[in-house]
Amino acid sequence: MAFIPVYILILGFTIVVDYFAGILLETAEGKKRKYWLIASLIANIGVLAVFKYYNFLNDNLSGLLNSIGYQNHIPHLGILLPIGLSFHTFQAMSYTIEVYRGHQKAERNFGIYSLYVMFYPQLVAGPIERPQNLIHQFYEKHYFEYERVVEGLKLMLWGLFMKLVIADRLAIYVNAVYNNADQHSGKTLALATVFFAFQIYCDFAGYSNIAIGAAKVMGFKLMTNFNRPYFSRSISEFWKRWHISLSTWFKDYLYISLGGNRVSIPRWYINLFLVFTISGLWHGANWTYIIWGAINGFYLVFAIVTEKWRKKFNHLILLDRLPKLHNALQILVTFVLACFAWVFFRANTTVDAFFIAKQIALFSGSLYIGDLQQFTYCILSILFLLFIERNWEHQHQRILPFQSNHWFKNQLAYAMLIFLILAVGVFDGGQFIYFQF
Amino acid sequence: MNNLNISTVRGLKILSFFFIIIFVDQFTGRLLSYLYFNQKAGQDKIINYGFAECKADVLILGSSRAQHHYDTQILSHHLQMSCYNLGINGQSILMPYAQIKIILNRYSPKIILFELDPNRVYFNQSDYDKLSILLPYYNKYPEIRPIIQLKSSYEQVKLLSSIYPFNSSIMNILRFNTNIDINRKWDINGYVPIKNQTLNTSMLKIYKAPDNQTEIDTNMLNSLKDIIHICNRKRVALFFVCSPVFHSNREKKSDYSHSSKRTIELLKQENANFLDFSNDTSFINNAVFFSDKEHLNSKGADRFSNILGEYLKNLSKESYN
Repeated sequence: MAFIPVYILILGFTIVVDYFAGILLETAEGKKRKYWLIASLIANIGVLAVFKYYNFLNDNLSGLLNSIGYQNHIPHLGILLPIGLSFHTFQAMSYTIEVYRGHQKAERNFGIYSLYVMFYPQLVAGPIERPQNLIHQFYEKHYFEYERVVEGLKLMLWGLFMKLVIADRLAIYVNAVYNNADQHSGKTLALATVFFAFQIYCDFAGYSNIAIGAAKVMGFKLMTNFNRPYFSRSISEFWKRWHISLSTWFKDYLYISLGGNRVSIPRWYINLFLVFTISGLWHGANWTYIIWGAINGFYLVFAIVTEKWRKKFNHLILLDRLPKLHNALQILVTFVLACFAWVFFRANTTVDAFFIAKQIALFSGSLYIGDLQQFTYCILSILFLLFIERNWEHQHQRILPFQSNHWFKNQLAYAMLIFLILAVGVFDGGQFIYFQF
Repeated sequence: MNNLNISTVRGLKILSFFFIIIFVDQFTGRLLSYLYFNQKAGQDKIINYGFAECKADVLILGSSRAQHHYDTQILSHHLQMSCYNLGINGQSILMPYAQIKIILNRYSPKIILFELDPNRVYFNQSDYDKLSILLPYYNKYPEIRPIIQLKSSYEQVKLLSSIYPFNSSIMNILRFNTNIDINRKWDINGYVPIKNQTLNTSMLKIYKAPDNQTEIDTNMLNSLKDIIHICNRKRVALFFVCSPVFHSNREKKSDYSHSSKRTIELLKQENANFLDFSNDTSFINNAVFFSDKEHLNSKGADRFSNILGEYLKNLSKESYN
């Protein structure tokens, strides 16, 4: 991941290609429309393939050829991955697909189309917007609205809190453990994995809140990207609450295109598995991400296959008569399953990931605490997040924490949030994890 | 008129919000400052003590390797001098540089033992991030401001907040203002032995030599140079010491990393003393002396301090008097 000014030309290339592709798609008829769409998709995926996947594919090809005694002479590319490439490429692709499907008119104003792809709050890490949600907003007049600006700023502040106080704090422990996995016990690796689950959530949801808040301050409405995913009662629900803009992108443009669930049952399972495996690959050119995606795909297929048996089992042990306990167990199991998959997402290599998974399964050794103060901040920050989100979960209309009817209480709450950021936020070395995708 | 009233109320709300923030920041910041400099134990107490009070003949500076490897009692016994360990967890060169700048303005110890991993002069952002440990001293010791400003160009802006210098340390400040001292009660003049821990070699990965391509950090080299010059000016006998490591990447001269070579070249150019124990074969791959790959346990520290103490004792007194 890098920011190199000349790489703006890559963005320029996809903008020009998709701008003209959109117009040509709209004016063409018959098969030509499909050809223009394919040309646009090839251009976008081609950029991703070169900058993100070329070296990965080349390395794997070399490994494969070496194993059968051949040498691969295709050179490695000495290029860096442009920041946020996967995000704006997917946003650009959604434009041409929507124009092709007739849900969006081709944008004639080049400036407006460029702004759609490069709208700065969500340029580098989403939410991945759809043209029909965003483009029309660029034509609307925006006036200063005090309440809206304040809400946007509050959302940005909450995002900063999630990032600086929770995610970056947890990252210290997680990095210390995961980067030296061989020196840590199963218990420590398990705890680091739980911490990572919250770290990645607060890192990415924190960024999304900042992006949505910044857009709101300027009068633009971006889609919600996270909806308290760790309160999900199944993996299927988890994916409806986690990185919503990407999940719906894959659902709308890949899963449904493959036939979705309106196919034979084996094909349906394959569709699910394939979509999640590709979603893993979208995150990064590494087998760890692919396995992470595949695990999630497997979870979904497994849940569908075993749905009847699980219902019978719950009935047999009378769990269905205890809805609160049932809900709590479902949330816990979903969280544990998500955590297991996160091992592969976070591990530096697949060898590390399998080693960590094995150590966690053995659950051996003593727990590494490290610096007591740092460890206490980690625990307290997670508890604080769960406390806020638990209350929030039961009041669906809320989009902000601390909504008191008394303005002074509200002000005090947000002033305390600033105090906590200054007092316990991590100001050094933090980088948003999803910038690299 | 109605609009005017709404605007006035909103203006007052905004003003009151900023007033609350400034009040909380200033009040809490001053309280934390008072509590910080009154800690009864802990690492900050040792830093405070080093900066303001310590008058020991022998000072030990450096990272956690300094803190855990140099037994002050053993060294005092061999050298017949008072000895204090000012090693700080996680620090490399810049923090000891700040310590030398402040302490040598106040008095000149006879000997400084500077724990130095010669490979640590490559650029590592975390070395700069960890300078936040110096933020509470920004106003008190102007001589270290240029070091703190290496952290980032925004430090002066961030320091407008009174809470920021104590960022991430509130819990320890509160803890060490009481008598609840869990970790530091075993320190002996700053030396913290790692007791009852032996390296589990079965979990170690195969050792890889450090990457030779890492970027050399000129700030680190310049700091080392300045440390040598300050000590020469103040007539302090300065010894750079690399204490034992579990795996030695310096077993063969050809294995020296680029950054190690540059450090050793610099020390030679400046005629500085460098005692390299990383090649000591009695420690290499001898897990019984280590708690992890980088740190000696109390048994290893005991042995190393005796070797070092004996070595220094045998040197002519004139060389460091």
